[in-house]
Amino acid sequence: MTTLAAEAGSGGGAPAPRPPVALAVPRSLDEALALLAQDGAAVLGGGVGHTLARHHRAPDRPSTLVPVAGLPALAGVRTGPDGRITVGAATPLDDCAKAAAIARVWPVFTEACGSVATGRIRRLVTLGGNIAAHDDAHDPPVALTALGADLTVRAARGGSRTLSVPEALRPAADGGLRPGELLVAVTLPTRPRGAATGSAYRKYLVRGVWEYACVHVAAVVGLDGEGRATRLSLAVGSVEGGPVAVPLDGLLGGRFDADLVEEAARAAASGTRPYDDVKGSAAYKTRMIGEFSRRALTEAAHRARGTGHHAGGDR
Amino acid sequence: MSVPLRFRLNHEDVEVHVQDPGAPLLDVLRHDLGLTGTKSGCEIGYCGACTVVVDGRAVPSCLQMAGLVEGRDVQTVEGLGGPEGLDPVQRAFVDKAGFQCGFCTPGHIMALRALLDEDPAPDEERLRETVDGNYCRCTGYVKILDSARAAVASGAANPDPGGAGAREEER
Amino acid sequence: MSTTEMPATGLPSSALDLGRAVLPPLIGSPVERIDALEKVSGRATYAADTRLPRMLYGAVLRSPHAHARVVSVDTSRAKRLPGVHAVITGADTARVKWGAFRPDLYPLALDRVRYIGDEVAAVAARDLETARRACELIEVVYEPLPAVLSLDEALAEGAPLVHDDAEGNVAHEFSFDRGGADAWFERSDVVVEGVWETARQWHASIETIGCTAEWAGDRVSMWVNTQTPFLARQRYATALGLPLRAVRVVQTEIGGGFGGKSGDDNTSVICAILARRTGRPVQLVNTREDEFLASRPRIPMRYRVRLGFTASGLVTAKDIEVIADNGAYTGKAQAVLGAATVRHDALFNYRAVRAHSRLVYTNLVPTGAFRGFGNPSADWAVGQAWDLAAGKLGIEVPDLFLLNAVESGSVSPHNHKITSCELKQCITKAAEAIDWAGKRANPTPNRGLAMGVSVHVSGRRSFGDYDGSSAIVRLTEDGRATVIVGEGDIGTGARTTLAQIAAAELGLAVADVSVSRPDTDLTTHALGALASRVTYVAGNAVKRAAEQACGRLLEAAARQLGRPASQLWVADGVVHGPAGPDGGDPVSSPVGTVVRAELYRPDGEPVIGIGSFDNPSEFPDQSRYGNESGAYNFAAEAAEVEVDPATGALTVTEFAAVVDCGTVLNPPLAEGQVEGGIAQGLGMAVTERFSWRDGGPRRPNFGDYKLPTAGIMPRKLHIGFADSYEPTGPFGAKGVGEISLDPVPSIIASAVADAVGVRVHELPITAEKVFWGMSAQGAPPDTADPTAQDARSSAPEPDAAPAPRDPASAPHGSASAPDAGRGPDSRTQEAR
Repeated sequence: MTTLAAEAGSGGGAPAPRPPVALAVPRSLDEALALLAQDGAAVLGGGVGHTLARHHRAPDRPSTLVPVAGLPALAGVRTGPDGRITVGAATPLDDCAKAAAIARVWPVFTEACGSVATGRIRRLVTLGGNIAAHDDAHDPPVALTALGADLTVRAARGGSRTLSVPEALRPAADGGLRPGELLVAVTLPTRPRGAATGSAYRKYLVRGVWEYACVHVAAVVGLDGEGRATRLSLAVGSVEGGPVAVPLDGLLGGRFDADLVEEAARAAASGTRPYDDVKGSAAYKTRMIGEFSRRALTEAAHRARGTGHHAGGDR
Repeated sequence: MSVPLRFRLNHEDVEVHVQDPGAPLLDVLRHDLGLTGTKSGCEIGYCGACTVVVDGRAVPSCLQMAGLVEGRDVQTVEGLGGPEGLDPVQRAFVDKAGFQCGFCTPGHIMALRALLDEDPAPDEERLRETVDGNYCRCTGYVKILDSARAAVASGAANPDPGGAGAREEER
Repeated sequence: MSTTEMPATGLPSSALDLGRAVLPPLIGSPVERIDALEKVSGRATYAADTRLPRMLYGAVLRSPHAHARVVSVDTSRAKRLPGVHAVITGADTARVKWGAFRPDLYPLALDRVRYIGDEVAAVAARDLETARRACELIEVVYEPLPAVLSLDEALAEGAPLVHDDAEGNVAHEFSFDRGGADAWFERSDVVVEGVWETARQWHASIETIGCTAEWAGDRVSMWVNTQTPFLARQRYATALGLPLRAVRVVQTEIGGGFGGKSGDDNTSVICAILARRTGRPVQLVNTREDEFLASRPRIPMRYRVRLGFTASGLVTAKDIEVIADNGAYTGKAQAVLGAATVRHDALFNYRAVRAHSRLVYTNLVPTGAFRGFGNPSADWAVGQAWDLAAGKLGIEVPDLFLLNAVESGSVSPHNHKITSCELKQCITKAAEAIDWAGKRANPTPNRGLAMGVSVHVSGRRSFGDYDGSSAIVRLTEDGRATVIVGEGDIGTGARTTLAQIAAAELGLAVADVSVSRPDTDLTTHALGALASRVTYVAGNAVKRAAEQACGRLLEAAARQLGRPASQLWVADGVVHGPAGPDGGDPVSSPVGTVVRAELYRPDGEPVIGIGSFDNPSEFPDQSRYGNESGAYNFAAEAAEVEVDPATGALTVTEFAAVVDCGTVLNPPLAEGQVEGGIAQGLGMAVTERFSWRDGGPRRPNFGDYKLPTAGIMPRKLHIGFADSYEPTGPFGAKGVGEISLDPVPSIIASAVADAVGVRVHELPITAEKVFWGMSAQGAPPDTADPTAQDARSSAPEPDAAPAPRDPASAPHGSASAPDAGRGPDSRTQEAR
């Protein structure tokens, strides 16, 4: 490894300046895991989160950052022999949004990644960093929650484990991502055989300009030959404890029609707790969660039937 | 109390000793290297005034951690054009009055430069998408979009990407 | 149009003689900016780009309380941090209150802080990181005091006082009744009335406010990105407790001003104190967070408006009551309130106008001048009343405007004397540009159409009884010209316009004219870039200086060439003369040769011209009576807006603006002013707001505060100019810097009302306000709400929509105050 670090100041009684960070650049995944096992070390993906924390003068910033973006083990989009797509955690969101293999199978993920900020920022931000930031306003975790994607997490000790997005975002004590753990890859499910499946992501930019969503919803819909719902997954972000997967099992088997969409939208609106912020009051967001759930489900069903248009987010 | 950081900057190899590799590239450019053409507008990635090109891609240098550009290629507005004249994108901004106060201009120009290097004939939507990533408080964007279109129309493909900076002026 | 019996108005009916001069070809041509190369190459030196040897960097510690007593400030730990050179508090200042009109601001708080953001202490250190770290080490003990966080709280009986000397928290108040409003209301057939409110809007120049200061002996030089170097110097000297002569202000390149850099904030003052304390140059530049807390945003104003009309649509009387949120300190707010109260009355032929205006202290971010200077607030509130009136009268808005618009020769109730005026032309052209008739004939569901108009000044006599400018034009021995003028350029291209005026007058190429940057030691005195004044006021001064320089050049050439000066002329940098009376050849000599020969002759002289121009205007009295400007510019703008009925979100699909700014000197520059103003107007109307907590913005940065981006500019945008000529302007020109912003919020609100029947009474017009307005009307079946059952219990009553809103109008701590507007009329059941 190479270390890029400044010597910390020793003020001798004087108050200390904030110590500069050290970058400990690993050459392999194992080395990265070993470095991350040390106290005060943290993963450095695209660096955006750390740069923002520095600007905001966040306390308790890590003293050593371990850049993982250059590790081949964490890079790129691959389709496995079982047909499942695995996205390396260090893949920039822009690459996720542009991966044709993903867009063909799960446009909900393509749209979510492509809706983040601007292309410029999507090039900096890695998928793993975006998820590990624990920010309910982030887009890709919402899509991954609806998809039921598997996150592969590794640590120097304890080997590898697989978590869903909601599991990973729990507090560490409850089984969530722990310090020293590295999110290595995200594996998307295959589309089930025998059922037409579609997915869609809808992001409401309430002021028409790019910012975090007022409301964002991801939907996955599976339909059988009779037009009955075989799969209904709906995830909502920017809500308390989000992203929240809306339980819709009670609607499975029913005919996918306007009534079912209304039921699902109602469940999304009543089953989530958005918060007041500059983008709107909680009450307004609740109404919009209903509206955008309806839009996402409707588009996902269109796509399942092969009649969908591949539109982006609403902005 | 500093660490060396080596990268390619505007077609030259540079080594700069930085206090904190966790600092944004923006600070290193402006304060350690004295290149003040890259502007600071918000420090959190929204305004785009600090846009530079890293390995051919436009990035907000306020979010780009300096330590991560080790060994990479960075271009700032100071690297555009040359003794022979302006880069075609700069020329377009002059011809179409694509600036007023000029503070956001280097960021707009670098963002469009990177776009045209990647795609010399972007369509209107890509142009708009790129301009949408930079705030401008003066122009209402009308003449910035005009400039972007003019740069495309002038065949503003970078004549010498990554080269020694000798660019022909195209009108 | 039918004629109506109306009593005489006392308005002169005959138009003024607006005879036009023949314009030189350079006037009206798209001359390239003289600063273009610096700006596209990154070489232009903005405030933060100034570099002086041994320079230190500053940072400011701000109050986290809206109102508190400062019990103690302990700077000892901060001072011990390696790299810190000075830590200062109020005790290190001259303890002098300063302010443009009502001195009420200390450079650093002494014993009390009055808003979240108030400056408490400052640091100079070897680098920014160290300065910011040192701020974190300063220990301040506060004793929180009760605060007033809205107009209503500030005006409540027994409210805590923001300043002990402002009884009832009223900082300034005035009223007038000109023409007998009551009598005219009695004679009115239709009266409309409503309350409309604006919010703080920040200039949000992409470059923040910044200063670099350096002392030499007892004199400080300050390189500042100020719009008004000479006015700023005066205030800085007061704040520093220094005589005027001890302060020199030099204007750096300015990355946008819009009124925000007109010298009412403490940043430069603190910078100068840090520089004196350390004995080294210090640079202090606002972070974006500083800028949102420390600059002086647009003043939120609450208008109660009443308008009277005859049945045929002639306006009779206007009565307004204005309450303006000063914030914690006054700055220019009282002047802004003046414009916000009277300016609008130069638009229509009101028979009587009455107003009562109060400027009210609150423990919120202090407010001040922002492009439009109160006019956008008036145009919004009064414009809404006009839109309501058109509905009630059954007259299309453009027709109602045409029926009542002022013309050349009109005189407003405040003695605003309208010289050139093409308002009617603007209205007609804007209606044509947006195809008003066609769109009315073929309405599109959920789309609405609206128009607004505005009047603006070209300079404004309000900073003492002077609104003049002076200039020196020096012709150089290399055949060029240098224009020395102290007005400066905040990004509009004013220096280019002045170069163009000088070049046209001198017969030189614009490329051969350079224009100084303001320096209080070197250039002529100037009020600077405010009130859309530079083109008109400084343009006239430069033109006169160039005229005189040209005359002297020709006198010198006459001696050198043996032809009478009256027969000589300059073209393309060469003095030309005819053949001599004795039959000799026509003569010529390059300008530089003539200048050099004039300098080098025995007792030779430089070829210099001076010129001055004082706006032919009056200093308004306490009741704001007086002709504030020598020329008024006008605009009519129209928009088509589409509303998504399911969300309330709006899209401006088409926009047309037609401006009367007299002669258009440089079309791309003038268009740029109009386009940029429209964008800022859209921001004020739609996107720009904060979420507030305890009296401060929750996140004072661009994450929450959204500027318009390219994506929301109307895809169809028509910009036009009226055929117009201002006889008192340079080559017929008037100001153009502000007016296009003014009517935008009102137009958007009216268009939304036209589209979906919801009239929002409080800016900005958020999707949420429109949505709740539509919900209150009864949602159309296709947007029936799936959550209705659940939501109804928690969802707001129509008049008490739930969003957090600007504290200026919300009771402190209330998260469920009305958002969509006020009262039943906010839902526009009233309109059409």
